[in-house]
Amino acid sequence: MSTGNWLCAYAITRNRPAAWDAVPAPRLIGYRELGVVVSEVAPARFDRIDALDPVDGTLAELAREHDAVVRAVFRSEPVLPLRFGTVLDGEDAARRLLVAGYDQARDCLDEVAGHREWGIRIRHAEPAATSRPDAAGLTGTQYLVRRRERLKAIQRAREDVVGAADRLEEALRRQAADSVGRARPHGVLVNTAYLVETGREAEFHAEVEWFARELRAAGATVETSGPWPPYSFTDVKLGAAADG
Amino acid sequence: MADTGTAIGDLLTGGPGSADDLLAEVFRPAGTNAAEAIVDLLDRVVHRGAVVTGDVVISLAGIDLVRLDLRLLLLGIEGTPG
Repeated sequence: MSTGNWLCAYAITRNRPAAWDAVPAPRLIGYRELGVVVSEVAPARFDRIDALDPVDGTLAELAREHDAVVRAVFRSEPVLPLRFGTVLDGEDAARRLLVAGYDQARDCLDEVAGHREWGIRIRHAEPAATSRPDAAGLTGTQYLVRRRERLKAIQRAREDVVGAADRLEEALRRQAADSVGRARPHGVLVNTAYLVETGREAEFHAEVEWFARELRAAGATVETSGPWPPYSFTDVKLGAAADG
Repeated sequence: MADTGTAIGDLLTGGPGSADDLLAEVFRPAGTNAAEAIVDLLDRVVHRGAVVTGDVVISLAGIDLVRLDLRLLLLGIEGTPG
């Protein structure tokens, strides 16, 4: 049994073959205005991927490889990233994908063209409300007053952070073409991906900087990641025989 | 062979130099540890991106990777300084 023509698909992009001539793999399979970026893949690479432990690095390694290809294309062309681990059965299947999903893929690609994704994470680790002031040398009343003041201060700081975070998100939504909330582990107040037109990135980051100062003063931290290819803004299903 | 700077070929087969360049594109602010950076990457690469239906040999879309994510997120929190 030959599986030599299995192709790992990374992204859909513009069909500009000239840019890919010198590259042995991955390569572009084109149809009309669109092309899908693929490389030969040994099926064994994806064996038992659902059992892979990301901590030992195998899954992360494959994901980084996927990301590296998408980014390489993204440097010069708009990309519609495909979900990691999409394997097609040869060039004909890749072309059929482009034919079946043509209009949808082209519309989506047009939407993200000229944009990059940026991640904003606001982290606020507030002191535990259960922490007690040092009681040494205080009367009972003084201690209770001190404790109430401390709780009030924690509450005020929380309100300051939430208020500033809301204003930052509002300001960034005005600069961004789109935004998507992402999972928030404990202590993370905001974890949002923004799709930003490259021409507006300077304003976007100026807003981040402006509110980051306020947030830092209130005890929170603001982290920026990016630029990313528009991974979080390509929520489409492409192909034939899709049910639902 | 990878001396012409042709993007994709270099990246795949490639020298550690080019891979570093790519990684350097992603800001690594203080307080973001390696596990968290992997969570950011996996969340985008594994959970986002267009899904191809029908005519595929393998599609990982739909495979439950939540368990893996949870472990990573836990590591991310434990590894966070402060």
